[in-house]
Amino acid sequence: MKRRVLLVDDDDAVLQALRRLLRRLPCAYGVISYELEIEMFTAPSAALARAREREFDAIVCDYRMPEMDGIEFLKRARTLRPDAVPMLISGGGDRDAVERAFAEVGIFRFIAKPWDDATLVSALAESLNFRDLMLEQRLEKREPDRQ
Amino acid sequence: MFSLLERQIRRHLGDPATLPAQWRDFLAAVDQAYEQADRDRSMIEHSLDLMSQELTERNRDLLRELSEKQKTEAALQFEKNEQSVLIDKLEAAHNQLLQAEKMASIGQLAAGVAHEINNPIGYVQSNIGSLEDYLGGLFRILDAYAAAEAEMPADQPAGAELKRLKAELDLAFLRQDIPQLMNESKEGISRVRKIVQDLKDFSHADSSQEWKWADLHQGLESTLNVVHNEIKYKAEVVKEYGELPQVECLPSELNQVFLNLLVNAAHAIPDGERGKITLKSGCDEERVWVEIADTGSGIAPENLKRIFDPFFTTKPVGRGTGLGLSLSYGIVNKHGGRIEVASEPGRGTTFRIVLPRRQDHEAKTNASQGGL
Repeated sequence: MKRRVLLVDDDDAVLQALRRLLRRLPCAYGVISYELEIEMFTAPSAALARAREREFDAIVCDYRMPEMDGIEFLKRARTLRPDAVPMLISGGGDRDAVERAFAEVGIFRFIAKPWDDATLVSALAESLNFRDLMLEQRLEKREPDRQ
Repeated sequence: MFSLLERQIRRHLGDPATLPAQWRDFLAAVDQAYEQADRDRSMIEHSLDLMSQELTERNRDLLRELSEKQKTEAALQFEKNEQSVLIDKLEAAHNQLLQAEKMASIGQLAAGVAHEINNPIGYVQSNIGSLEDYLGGLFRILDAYAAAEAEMPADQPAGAELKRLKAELDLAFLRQDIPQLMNESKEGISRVRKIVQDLKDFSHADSSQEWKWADLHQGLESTLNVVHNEIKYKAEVVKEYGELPQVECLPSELNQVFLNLLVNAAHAIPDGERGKITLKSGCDEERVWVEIADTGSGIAPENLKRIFDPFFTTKPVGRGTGLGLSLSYGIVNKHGGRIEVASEPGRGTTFRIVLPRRQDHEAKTNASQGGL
């Protein structure tokens, strides 16, 4: 099953590079390999509008953006798509932002720019896997209710 | 009778009592005139005396006034000197503040620039990876084409065109040069990445002043990268690193110390000369040490005990603020360490930083509580 990934960065060149990267390196966690379907936006508002229309499995965004910062964006995206796993990429140096992202948006992995290709892809794979586990757990919890 | 008159009468005329009675009035008049003259004289004498007294007094006053004036002038001069010393001090403090502000804004700027540059570094680096991948694919296709070309009949016009193009574009050279180009580009971008990382490490923007276990060699290296430009034309840097364990320290502050000592070492080498800066390190059970030695002009013995004083500098205006070593001293002190210095004028200077391997936090807390 294809995993839908939403990429948001106000710098289009970053999006293009990420698109190439995710096409090139397999997004794999252990034996599981995820096939990705990517949508990219330079404007957070446009990305939110798209998230309203359809489901995403992972939402990856930049921290510093002119419209709203990455944490604000991920918070709003979470209200629309609570099951999408969030991931933050940042130009680094902003320790507060990273801590806030972990605490307030519950990101699973943080990527610093300039990113390392392999690390970024495996972080995405791990995040997708983490999401799978969370969903499975939730299903298991529901099972006894049904019995 | 006036005594002078009586004496004269006695000498010239005999006993006054024997003189004829008709002279009596005349003598009385002369006597009166004598007395009058005498009174006048003594009056004049008296006034002269008074005048003289007044003049003496006036003179004394004048002298006193003069000496007071001189005293005031001396005091004024003294005050003026004090003020000019004060003005110099204020100017130094002002320059110091400017410098501190400059350093702070350089740090901020570096952090900001680092943030901005990280975006393009990120995608250029990633794109180079993608491009390398694409090129690998293209070369594989080319190989397949080459194999197909070999199968082609010799009289095919397309074959001749291929041969011409391969010769014109020098395909053999491209095949050999493209991987080299890619490697150099990757090397270049990783160097840029490293410089930005060093700038960030160096600026305090990243640090939250936490005690960390750190590798001092790494700190020396990133500081060397930052001051590379300041040093490269003046000295050759020789590293004779020994074994160093991780040290519990404030890494960015120690980098500041290394920076000050490295820049000082470079400045100590006279213009137009090329010197040597030797970095050594080592440790024992309790402590670690880092040594920065230059072959520069050295420190005069009379200055040696003042080098850690704030604002003390022998560098020309604009080159040194006189704060570098005192800051360094403070930082090393905060680590419970010490800075040793050995210098020989004309031969060079060696600074040695000795630090404890671990911090005694409990003692520090107690000490600060004791201070409250």
